[in-house]
Amino acid sequence: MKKTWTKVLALLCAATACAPIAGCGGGGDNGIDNTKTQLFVFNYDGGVGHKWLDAVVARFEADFAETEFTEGKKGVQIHQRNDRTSIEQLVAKMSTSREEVFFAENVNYYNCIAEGAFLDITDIMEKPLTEYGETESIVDKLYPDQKDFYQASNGRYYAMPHAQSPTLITYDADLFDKHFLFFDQEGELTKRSTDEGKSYGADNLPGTYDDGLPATYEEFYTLCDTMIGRGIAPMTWSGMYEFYMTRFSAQLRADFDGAEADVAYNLNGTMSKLVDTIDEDGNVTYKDPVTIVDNTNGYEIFSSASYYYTFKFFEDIYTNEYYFSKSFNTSVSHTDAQRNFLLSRFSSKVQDIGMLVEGLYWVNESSSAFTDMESYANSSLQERNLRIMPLPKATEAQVGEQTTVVDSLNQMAFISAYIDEDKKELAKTFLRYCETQKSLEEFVQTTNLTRNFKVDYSNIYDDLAPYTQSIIDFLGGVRYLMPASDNPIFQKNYTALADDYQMGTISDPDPMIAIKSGKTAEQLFNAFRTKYNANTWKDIL
Amino acid sequence: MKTKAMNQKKKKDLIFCLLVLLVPMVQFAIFYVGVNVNSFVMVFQKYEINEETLRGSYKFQGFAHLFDNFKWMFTTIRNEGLFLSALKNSFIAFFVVTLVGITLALVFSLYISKKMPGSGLFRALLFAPSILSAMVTVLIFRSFVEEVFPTVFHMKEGLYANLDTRFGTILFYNVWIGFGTQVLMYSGAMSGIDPSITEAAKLDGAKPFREFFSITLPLIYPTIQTFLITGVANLFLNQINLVAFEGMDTLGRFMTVGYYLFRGVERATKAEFLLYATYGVSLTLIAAPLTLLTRWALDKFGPSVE
Repeated sequence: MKKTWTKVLALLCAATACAPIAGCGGGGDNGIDNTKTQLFVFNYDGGVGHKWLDAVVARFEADFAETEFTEGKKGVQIHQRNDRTSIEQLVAKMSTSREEVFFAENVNYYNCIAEGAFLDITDIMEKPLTEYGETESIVDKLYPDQKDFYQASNGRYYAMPHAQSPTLITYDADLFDKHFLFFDQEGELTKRSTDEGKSYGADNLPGTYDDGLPATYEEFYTLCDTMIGRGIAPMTWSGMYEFYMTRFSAQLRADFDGAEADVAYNLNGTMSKLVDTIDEDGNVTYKDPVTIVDNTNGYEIFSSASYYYTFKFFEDIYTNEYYFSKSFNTSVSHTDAQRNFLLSRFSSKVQDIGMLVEGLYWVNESSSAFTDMESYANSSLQERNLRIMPLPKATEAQVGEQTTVVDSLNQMAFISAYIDEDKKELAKTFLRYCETQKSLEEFVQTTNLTRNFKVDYSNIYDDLAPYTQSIIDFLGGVRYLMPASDNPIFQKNYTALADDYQMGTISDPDPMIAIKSGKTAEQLFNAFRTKYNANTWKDIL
Repeated sequence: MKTKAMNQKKKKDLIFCLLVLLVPMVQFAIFYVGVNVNSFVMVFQKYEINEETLRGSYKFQGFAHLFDNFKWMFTTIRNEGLFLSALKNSFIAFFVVTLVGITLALVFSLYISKKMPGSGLFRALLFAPSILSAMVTVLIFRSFVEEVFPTVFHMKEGLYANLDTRFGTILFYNVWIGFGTQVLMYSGAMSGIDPSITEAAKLDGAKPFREFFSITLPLIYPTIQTFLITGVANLFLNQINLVAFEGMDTLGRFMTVGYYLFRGVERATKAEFLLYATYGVSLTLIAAPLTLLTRWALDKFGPSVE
């Protein structure tokens, strides 16, 4: 009897050990219509959400209901997997995953190509979208910088852009109007957004979306001082996730470097704003322009004045307390910060907050906050005048220069290299369908975000929320960079050179936290530019 | 005839045992032996990308560059400074979480095993956090130190938000969360001590301290030894729940080696895997003899039951 029980127990143990194996493989056949061709789509369900995918899938299934992608099967059935699986996990399981089309984030494009995870999609990228009544191809819709990024060194394309998600400043234009916080031509804060005679903003052009907004860091500080004087907390951010401010610092750095910003990633090119000296008053003198050649003097990128000015901006924000009291509270998550910002205008319990530092997708994450505010008049996203604030310039001399923005999330769309041969046509057709004018417009309408393509939104612009309009206005005129390159040295040292780490010394990976813990901008910069030198650089090649 | 039947039975038992062990053995072979052998091989490899296909592959470094990955590792350690700071934090965490944790757990266990007033409640309170998910306890703990503490003690910011107290707060959490299992094990071992031994000691006039150090401690020493040895073996793996606290974005100054490696591998490119494999093999070369040395020292110098 005892032996029988021992055997039963042993069998149970063995069955338990086998349990993980049962977890491998597909997700079952629930809901599969075998009369239709199946397509499995993964969508990273973060700030972009999945409503946009629901909409495009519904249209695609209807439009191709009579098409035979597989012999004997009419129509298509698309299965979505909406979750937050990381790209590393996706790529590691790509060969056994049943998903075939992916919309993922934090994609290290060139590393994924090297891993052989992505299907070559050059054909669908270069072929004009004539079947949808358009004359342009997907490549034609790419901005020049994006084309350079996505076209690999062998001339092929393996992925295409997804949503644009840089971390920027959103401001409450209603609050700005209430307190006359727009600059006039004399540099005084006397205007509302609808007034004539506003200053020209950072682009130095009259009649554009940034009129009346701070053009320089100095004007930004004037704005913050005035806000504090009027009882408003100038800005807030998530205290729980310090990387939001680090990502924002990468924006400031890239905008300062402008056309030279991509040298930080491809480690090749000329940099003209490398620091020679910084005097006691913080005035910076530059070296003669230096041509960066990756394998000899790539370390010079860390001497860019852009780092110093970024740290200085953070130092000024911290020392002058231009922030909401809970901005450093580590129990305040990104959604708490969003809620505080949104609610502050209506609730007497929360101090008015003028600006929020967040990824552009934040309005989707705060849908519950908008729902909770429904009892307040004019509180919906459509009704509120929330807008993107263009980055102010570090120096007067840079006013008028084109703004440079760097993506924070590297969101891309691609097809698995392991897709069955007979499914390729369907997957490619679906991906092309997502890049049609109608789909791109629908994406903006459902997410309040833009895909990273040149798109004419004039048909839908007037019906969009002011927030979404401001994204289109702002991003339509910027130089947009992806923070990566196929440079082997960059890829070999990706962790050290990618933005999250590039913006900090190792003991102080987050510049704002470093400033908070007592470092000055100059100390931080000096520690930063000595991170690598001629000797240590050659060791990482 | 009887011998033949016995042999057949033994054969059947053997087949049964082998079948039962098959899955765990295969799992062990793939996920332990295979992974570790692969790590060792990667230490002597380089990553190259074919310019035409753009596909990357690992290749043998060649004897002239056999130790290039070690050079790369030492350069990274020197340039970043992060690893050394993580190493320091790992030792601090070992000292506080393992040594201080064990000491306090012994005190609590003694209190419980002696059935002092409220010992049942005390045991439940200490064990309760262990049955909750780490994410849940971290969130509760974090809200407590960030919201309750500053309100009650009129502090400007919470113990976690304050960078000067953050690491100490994390260590405190680890000590506290470690009590559950340890107290359960120690008090279990203490309750297994034959009451006649302690009775005899008392009759001989042994005071509570004497009883603890001369009787209780030697008799539960194997349990303590197990915790100490696994603590040393875990020295470079312990990430002190930083992932639960901050995900992959912990500040550099608070990282431990375990967290540093976990985060690094999670984000690494194919090329960078070589660096982390080198870290892994190098640290094993330190941790393995250190663990054996600790076991030897504990055996040799620990209290004797005699």
